[in-house]
Amino acid sequence: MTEDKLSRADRKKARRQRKARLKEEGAWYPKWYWPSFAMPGIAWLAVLFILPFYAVFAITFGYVNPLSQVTVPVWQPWYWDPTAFKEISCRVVGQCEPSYAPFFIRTVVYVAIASVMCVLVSYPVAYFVARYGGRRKGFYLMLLIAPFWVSYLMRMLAWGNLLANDGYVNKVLVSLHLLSQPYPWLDGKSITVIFGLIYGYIPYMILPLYAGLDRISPSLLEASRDLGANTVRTFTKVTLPLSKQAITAGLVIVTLPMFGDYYTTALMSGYNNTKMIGSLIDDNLNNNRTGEAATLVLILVVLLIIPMLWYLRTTNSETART
Amino acid sequence: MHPREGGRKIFGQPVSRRDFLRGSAITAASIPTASALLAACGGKPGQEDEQLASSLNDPARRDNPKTYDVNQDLLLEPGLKNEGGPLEIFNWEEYINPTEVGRFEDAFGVQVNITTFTTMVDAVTRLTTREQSYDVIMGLTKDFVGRIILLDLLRPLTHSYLPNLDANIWPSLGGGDPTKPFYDVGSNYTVPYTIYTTGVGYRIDQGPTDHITMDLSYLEDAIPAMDNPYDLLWDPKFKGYSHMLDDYREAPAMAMLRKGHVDTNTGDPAIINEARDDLVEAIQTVGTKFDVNDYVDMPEGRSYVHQAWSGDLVSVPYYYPSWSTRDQIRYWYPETGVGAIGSDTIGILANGKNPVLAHTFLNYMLDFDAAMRNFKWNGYIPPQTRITSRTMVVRGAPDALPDYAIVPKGLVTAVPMESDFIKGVEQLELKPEVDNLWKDAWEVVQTT
Repeated sequence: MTEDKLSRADRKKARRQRKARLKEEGAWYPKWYWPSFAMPGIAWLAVLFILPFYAVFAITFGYVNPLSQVTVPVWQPWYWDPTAFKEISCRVVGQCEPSYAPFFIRTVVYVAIASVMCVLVSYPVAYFVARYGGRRKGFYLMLLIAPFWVSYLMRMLAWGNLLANDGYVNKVLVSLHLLSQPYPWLDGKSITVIFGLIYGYIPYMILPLYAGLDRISPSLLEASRDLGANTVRTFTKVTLPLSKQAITAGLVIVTLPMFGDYYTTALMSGYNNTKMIGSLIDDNLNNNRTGEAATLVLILVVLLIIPMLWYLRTTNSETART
Repeated sequence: MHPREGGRKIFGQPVSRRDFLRGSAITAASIPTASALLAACGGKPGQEDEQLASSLNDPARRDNPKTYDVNQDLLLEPGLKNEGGPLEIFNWEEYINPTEVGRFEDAFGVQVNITTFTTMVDAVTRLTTREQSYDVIMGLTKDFVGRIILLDLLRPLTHSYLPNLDANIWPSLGGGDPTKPFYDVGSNYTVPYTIYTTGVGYRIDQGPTDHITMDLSYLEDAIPAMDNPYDLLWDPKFKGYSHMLDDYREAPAMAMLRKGHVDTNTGDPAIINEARDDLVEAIQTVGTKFDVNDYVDMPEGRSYVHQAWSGDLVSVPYYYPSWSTRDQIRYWYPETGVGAIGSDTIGILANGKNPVLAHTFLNYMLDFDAAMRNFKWNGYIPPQTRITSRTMVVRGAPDALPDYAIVPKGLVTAVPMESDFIKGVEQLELKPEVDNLWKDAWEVVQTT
């Protein structure tokens, strides 16, 4: 006990001495100094994330003004009405009609396929630029960013024209005798929507992959080769594990917006059989059912927390390991 | 704390019990605080909402005309001068000719700003939250006229500023007849803007190659001769090329008319559900697509039959892949006159800053030439008394008005006349519980 007290006093003394020394050197700052740098970010988050998110709750559990048909948010939790939330949740799990389960399953399938395809297509491209880009790296990067110069909406509308029955895609395929007649790409085909998702989101995958691959030191690869590993083994045992974090980051960046996407399927199909979760939210908003739309947003958030947690866990364990 | 002590981990990082409790306490304390701060912004529905909503239990109908009390506090004195503007207009997208707006600006030396809304509820939401003080709302649909008046969002009209109303507009829509229109007797709050019907658009040229390989010109004579031309939208021959309007009232109303139910404001669940099932059948057998792109889809060959608004089809020539005077699209509306018909209105908003200028603008839009120039641009004809026959706006017709005859010959049926309103059925205000029945049915259609 006495030792404890003594050591505590010693520690206090040491702290005072350190503080005096730092003050003398002009390197002492009050406790609040460094955390205060986070304040703008915290204020930004509070105003533009926490409050709007609370507003989603207030709308979800709000009510519809019978006269104006406008959804009125209820800010006080003790007045919240869970009717819309229960109804929508029941539909999501397929217990009530109309069931939303097929839309959730379809969204997960579309996003999974599109995300995997994004990795498969992007990885070789990013690898090439990072490893063999040489002096032209900047030029290649500019080419990769080029799609961002054109609005996403315009790019999708352009594909709509290219894939039309009398569009160039069908004309080329028919003239090459790969098709006997034009294929109705835009008539509610899952493949077209998935293609749209891949095309739309691929630049978001390439950039983090490139950043990750470019950071891998060439000496590590040389060491692997010196130790007798062939090209494939070097890739699987060195490059791939070291780029795991970049793949994870890329996947998170593309999957999160894909889950909420509704315009890709609207522009590339527009049919009920290709609607995603985002389409349901859009439909409910258009039908003046804002509460139902807000409920779907909350459910989507819960769904998205899973990959987010996985990402944070992977990143944290990776950081701890390195 | 030793890692083996089993402290909670958040995202892989150890958190002490003290940290966890402190965080929880802050969160617990902050939620009610935030709620209290936000409490002023909303609450449980009050008595006022319920009482006002009860007036919707007796909505306006032709056999139940509605006269709304004039709010004397907001009524303008006659003879005031125009304010200096700018005039703020709240409108649907692409529902007014920008050139005509420019003419008004030049004529009265004021600036006009246009802000658009996407649905009527979007408009009402933004008006009730008073995001900005608009002067004029255009394209106000009849199913919202009563609501918007009861919400005190409209300013009563001073008719001395609107001589063109009595001079030019159909009596049935309030021109010179103080007992009309039935949805706002005496035009106390609104003046008519455009009129339209909802029918079936179809192409009469060569069908697309994958499904429809035949010459469709036979439809020109076949459709009017059919017992029930609505069936065209359920015809599997047009699989993949049959579209309907993405609207929770229009599509089910057409399914009802197809089955002979003429009350398209019904609250009968059996009729509403029958219409729902018919639409689901169309999706399953014809692969029906729902959109509001009739004016683009048909000329571009994305749809060969399309439930369509008459005004949209009048604009079709502008939307062929290249400018064309082609006349390959037809529009069917029941010859019996028992089809879907409607009209939109214009009103002056209560919190606008330029009420006199707003009256001047309304009067300007009721002028024959201004209204017809607007028609040339958006395809929706105004209810002007000088248009006494459909052919007056049809290209090449003997009585065509040289400046305004823009309608292709084959689309003469897309020009509604006052007589069409005698038998035509309108989609009007619904009681809240009936409205929910329609929306529930529509949700099933959208999720099929």
